[in-house]
Amino acid sequence: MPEMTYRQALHDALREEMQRDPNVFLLGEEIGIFGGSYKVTEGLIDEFGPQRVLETPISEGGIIGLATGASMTGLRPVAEIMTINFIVVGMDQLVNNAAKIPYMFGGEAKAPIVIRTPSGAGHQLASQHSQVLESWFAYVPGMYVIAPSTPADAKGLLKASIRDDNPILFVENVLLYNEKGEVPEGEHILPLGKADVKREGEDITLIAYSRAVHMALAAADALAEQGISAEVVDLRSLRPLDIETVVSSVRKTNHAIVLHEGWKRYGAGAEIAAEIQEHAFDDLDHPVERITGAEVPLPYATSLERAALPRVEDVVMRAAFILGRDKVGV
Amino acid sequence: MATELVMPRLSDTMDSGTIAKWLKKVGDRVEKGEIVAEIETDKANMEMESYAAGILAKVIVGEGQSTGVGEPIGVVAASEDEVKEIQGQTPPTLAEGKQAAQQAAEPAQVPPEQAGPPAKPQIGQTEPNERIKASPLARRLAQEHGIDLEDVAGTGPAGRITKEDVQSFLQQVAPIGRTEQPATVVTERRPAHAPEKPSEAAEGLRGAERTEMTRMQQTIARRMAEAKATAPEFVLTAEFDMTEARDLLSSLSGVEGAPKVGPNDLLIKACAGALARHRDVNAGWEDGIVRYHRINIGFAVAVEGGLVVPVIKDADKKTLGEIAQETKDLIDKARHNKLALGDYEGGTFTISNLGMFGIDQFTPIINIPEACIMGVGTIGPKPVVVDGEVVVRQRMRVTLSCDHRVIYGAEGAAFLQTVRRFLEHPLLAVL
Repeated sequence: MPEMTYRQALHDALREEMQRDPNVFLLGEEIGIFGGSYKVTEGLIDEFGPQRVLETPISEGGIIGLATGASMTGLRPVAEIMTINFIVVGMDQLVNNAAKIPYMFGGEAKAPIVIRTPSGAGHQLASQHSQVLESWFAYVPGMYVIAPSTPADAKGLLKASIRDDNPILFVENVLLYNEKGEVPEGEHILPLGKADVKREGEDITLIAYSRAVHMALAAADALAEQGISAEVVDLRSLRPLDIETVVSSVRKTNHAIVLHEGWKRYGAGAEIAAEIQEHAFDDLDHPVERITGAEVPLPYATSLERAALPRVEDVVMRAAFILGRDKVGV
Repeated sequence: MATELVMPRLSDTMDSGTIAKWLKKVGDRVEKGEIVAEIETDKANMEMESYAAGILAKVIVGEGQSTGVGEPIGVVAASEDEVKEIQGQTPPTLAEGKQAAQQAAEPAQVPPEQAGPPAKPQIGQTEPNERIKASPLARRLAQEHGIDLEDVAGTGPAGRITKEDVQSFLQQVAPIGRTEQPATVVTERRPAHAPEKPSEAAEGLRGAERTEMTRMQQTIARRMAEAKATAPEFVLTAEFDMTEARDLLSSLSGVEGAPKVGPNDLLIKACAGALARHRDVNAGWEDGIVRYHRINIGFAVAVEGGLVVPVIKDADKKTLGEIAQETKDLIDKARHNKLALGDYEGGTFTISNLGMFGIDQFTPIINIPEACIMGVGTIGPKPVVVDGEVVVRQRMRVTLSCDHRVIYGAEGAAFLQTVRRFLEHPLLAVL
């Protein structure tokens, strides 16, 4: 299998889908000549022309509204919102229109749009550009929220999203674009709403999505040195939520930590923890714990930023504590 | 002052008892040391002496009823006035009863300053209704195994009982038969490993009828399941030539004054001799390997509705004749339910013989905490090769089940080799 970056995998997915289906078109800020802020769409304007790679003004409400309308007429728009922080001004179009249309038109109209956008903290992007807001959208019935962690998943899930008829928020991550990984050759499509066990283990389940999956995997490596076998479940999708995979893992390990960037209160971890206790109460040996960012707007100062983000060491320490391995003499 | 009579611990595996009979009625005078009740334990019927003089003022546990060790069964009052006072009282609350029971069962655990003036009840010093902190999983496991979480120590955050705590408790339960302290960890009130109840429909199809289990049956069920669940066993089988042993024993029959000695007695003698030479086999598992200095050989005796294992103490120091006489007496007592506590406690090795039923060989379940049990098959003629010739010899198969935590293959095999030498040259065993 060829190794490529997360960025390249997304690029290939877009290109392949545009080649396959002439109804697929892209729109967004600086996605043409500039190639996108994170260079995912680089070169596509040369191949497909400005009609299918549409440069827009800074107008997130307009982008999502245009995409929604176009999708209702049979096109398959893939919009790029530069970062999830800017999606807030387009939220009305997404939540009040795109997510409602299939319901309010009795299924006669669909809104097959894909909104690609990176989430998460970068390096010193400060409080307005470092947010993790995808759980707001996962709250809305009718929305799909997909969040891949690896290049292979990014490609397989983006292609599946473009072909799917639901409005989809496709969450990328600022710090994942350069992440390398093997991607299957040829047509690679993954099912939406299916979690993936990224590492098998026996003692504790670490549940994560997007970049936090890599933190969970690093924590699992460190825990293995302490003799703790951690299983890492990558949700890959916040809505639909594949709670079955999560619960069957917790039934095996009896312990769970949900790990994600962003805030703890009302975050994705709250939902997952609640689902686990509903479905696997009698299998729990410890309360489901959450490790997230601090309850503050993300600080700019490097030291404070680091302190406010979840860390691999936190996961290792909590897991050892939960399993009683941090006691003297054990 | 009134004295509460509590269910005594009459054997080291007893955790509850049944009042078979009250020998005193309410209002009867009771002397100190006088027998007041007969108690059916998991192993035998025992008599209970009063440890106070006075008047039996109250019977708390009636005939045929059971209660846990240390729980109150009756009250002896010092005077007639006190009898009235006690009879007028409302029955003690469960918490009070439990508290009293705890004090009675665990005298050493009450710090002297708390013991204080004895008349003061200590209600309120502990909170018996305090919720036990246990994880949902630990609760489920405890329920499945019939464990009372009160008996399990929690090591999780804030003292929470976790899965690991329940599992290590389950492992501890096995060797408990031998602990000296009263009221220790084994206080489960239901048999461990209670099987899931089949549906009523299934019971109907089978024409099933639930039988009331005797205490003996409950004990056997519990201990056998514990042994199977905790002792990793391996099994050694050997066939011995019993021709000479047979001849030796039959040469005694009809001789005036000779004790009646059977193959079983010779087997006990041979095993005792072999254990004296293989001390590592005369051992057990009690939270670790324990070697026993005395060689006390138990032998299984089938009785109605179960089995008992009376013990020949210091079998290595007894003659074959003494063993034969003692065995006969013990079997007699066992069949008439007259075994005393001392008759079946303290075994270090067990023999189970099914030879009389024509069984060739079988694998017995280890009698925990002992490390070994020997299953003995029938003695019968078989063609074997001796000096290149096929001849008919009397042969017997024995099977040794061993707890691998205590005994290793080579040790068990060496022990059987010695047993073989003694049985095939029986004079060696009695010399």
